[in-house]
Amino acid sequence: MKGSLLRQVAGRRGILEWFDEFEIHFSVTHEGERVKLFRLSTAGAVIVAVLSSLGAPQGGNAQSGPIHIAVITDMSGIYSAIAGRGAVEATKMAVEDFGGSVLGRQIVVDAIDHRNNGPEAATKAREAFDNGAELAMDETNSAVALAVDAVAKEKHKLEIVTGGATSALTGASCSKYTYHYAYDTYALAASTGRNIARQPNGKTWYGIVPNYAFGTQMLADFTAAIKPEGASFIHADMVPVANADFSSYLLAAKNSGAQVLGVLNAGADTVNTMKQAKQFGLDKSMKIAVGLLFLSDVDALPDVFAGSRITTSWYWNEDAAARAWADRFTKRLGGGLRPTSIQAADYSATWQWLQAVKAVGSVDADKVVAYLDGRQFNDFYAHAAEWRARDHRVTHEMYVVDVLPKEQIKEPHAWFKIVQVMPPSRAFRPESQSVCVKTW
Amino acid sequence: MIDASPFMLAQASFGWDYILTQLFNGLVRGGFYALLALGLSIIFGMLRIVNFAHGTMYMLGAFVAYYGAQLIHLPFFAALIVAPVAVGAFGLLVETTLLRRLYDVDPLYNLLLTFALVLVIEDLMRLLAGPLGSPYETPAVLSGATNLGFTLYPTYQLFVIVVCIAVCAIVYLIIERTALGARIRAATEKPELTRAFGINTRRLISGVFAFGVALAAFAGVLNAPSTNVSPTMGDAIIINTFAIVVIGGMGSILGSIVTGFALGIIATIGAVYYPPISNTLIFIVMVLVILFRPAGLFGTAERTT
Repeated sequence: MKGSLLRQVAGRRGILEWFDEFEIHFSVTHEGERVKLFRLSTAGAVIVAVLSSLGAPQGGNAQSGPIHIAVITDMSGIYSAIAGRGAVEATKMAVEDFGGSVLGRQIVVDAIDHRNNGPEAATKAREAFDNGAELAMDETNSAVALAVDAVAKEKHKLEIVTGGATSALTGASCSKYTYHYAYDTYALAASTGRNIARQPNGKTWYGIVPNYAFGTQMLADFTAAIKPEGASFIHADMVPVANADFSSYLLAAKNSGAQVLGVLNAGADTVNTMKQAKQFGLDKSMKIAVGLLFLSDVDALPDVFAGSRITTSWYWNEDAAARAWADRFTKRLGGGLRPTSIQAADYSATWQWLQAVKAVGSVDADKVVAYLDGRQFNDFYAHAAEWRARDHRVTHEMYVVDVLPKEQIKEPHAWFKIVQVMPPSRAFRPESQSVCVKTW
Repeated sequence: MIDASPFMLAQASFGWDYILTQLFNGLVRGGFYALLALGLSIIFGMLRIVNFAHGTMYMLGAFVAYYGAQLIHLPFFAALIVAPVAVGAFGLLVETTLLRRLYDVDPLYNLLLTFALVLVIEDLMRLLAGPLGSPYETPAVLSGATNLGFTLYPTYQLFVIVVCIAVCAIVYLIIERTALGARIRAATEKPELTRAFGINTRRLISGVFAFGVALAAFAGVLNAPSTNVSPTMGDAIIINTFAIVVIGGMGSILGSIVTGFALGIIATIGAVYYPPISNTLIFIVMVLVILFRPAGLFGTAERTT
């Protein structure tokens, strides 16, 4: 009993040895009787057992069996509300509306939980492609999208990213087998950033930026986007991810005399920043530009985000077609929720892909890409859209919206008011500025 | 991708009033560290277990406040009492049904048990409340700013500082100056001897665990208006708190309080000069303390053997 815990863990007794003292019995109940299967006494054997049960091959015939669509999304973590189950259901809706089959083969939608872990997502994507998946979808998490991008390239299978944000997917990491469908960091910066920078008191910015790939890309894209309007960052704090206390940065921002506070983080970090910014009264003395925000974030914390100006690729109440689809989605999920832009993008992208497969008479990624490249289309999600051949950015209209306060909304979830429609040519990185080295 | 470092060089010049205001920020952060470290420390002192579930109790406190507000319009000030009582009662249940069975075996078992509790409770809260944040507003009387002469400072943050200092002082006085505190200290130092004097140490142990956990829940309610109320909110802060307890000396009451406030200030000021280091700074201090004063700044050799 005596002895410091640190020494216990580090020293004379390791965790694995501790496991050794246990005998673990694996048993099943068969017709009311307990049947002992086997017994393990080492941690190593446990790990082997768990791993082998996870990695069991499922089989599947790649030529004549069902066609699988792998929705690689966050089913239980921080992004599960913006994509998650709703993303899977939206994809299934598209498949059902399409008739459930294409080229005489049944279409199966598989939900794969990426758990916000890039390497894990890559392994699962590899497995999915090997087991008959012809399309990987969603990938709400930039690290996951980039990891699957590499696997798709290697397997010559198609990836359509609707969730991940990083503009590197059509820049440094661009690939023949990856389309970036919904939005990206460049578009957020070009719309939200430029819109605020154009205003007379939107010239000096103070950034609160998460210190990892997504954050540095956001800062780089915002810096470039506001420059033509004569605006610039006078300072940016690179803050560790998953931070609870933003008070020192907020006070520094207030003290700096900057006109705009650029909140360029995501998820819980954004909530913490905004809650504390309100306590410090920053929402009254500065304009606040929130880089990335979804309908479900506002649903969760309406008072925190009221008054923010943000950019979205789609809004469920933007027009009659959007609303009609949203009504079906809401009904399917049992009411209560409205779809996010990512979920709508999942439906739209799946539908467009199925159309292409039908048109070329093959699921072969090379043939589908040849068909899609340069093709223009319109649907309830994507307006004035094009599968851009140059870098595989799918361009379409984006919307700058204001988040309404609770008192002003006309019905539940109707949080957004569109203040500016961004045409595709201005919303996304122009072809002339593309940094994609096209190798195909 | 553009290198972001040029942005960090362009720092504004700092006046004394600015630094003073940042000190207040440090006291807020330190107040939470102190409350959590205090609970962790008295539990370790009495039960000799490292309560991994301390951050989870902090999270539960915030959720009691949230559900109280949603379901029965429980005001913030009532939540400051109701949540610690409710979570304390839950702690009592955990101690009497689970922890108690493991006192006689290696402390590692208790560590694993409390860690398992973290996983189970966090997942249950995820099912109940969802992974996203739940809204909790600053109470109206404490919103807005107060003029401190040199700056306008958020009233709520001032309230946090005052309450944290008051609660820490009261707990310290109870343990150091009252008969009950004397029993607790006696049971901590020499459990067998204390029992021989006819004192029910078992009941004392249960009470201390419940109280330590209640302090965590209190901190959770206090932070709910400033932070994202979500199932994982305890994860980040508890790691820092462990470091603070080690720095202060495990089981040392005064050590936890003083180190909590001091490290809050150090981390905040560090964040002003070099933001990426703010969370790491606490661990740098911890490494230095372990190297040069392994028992902790306020620990005695006896307490940590």
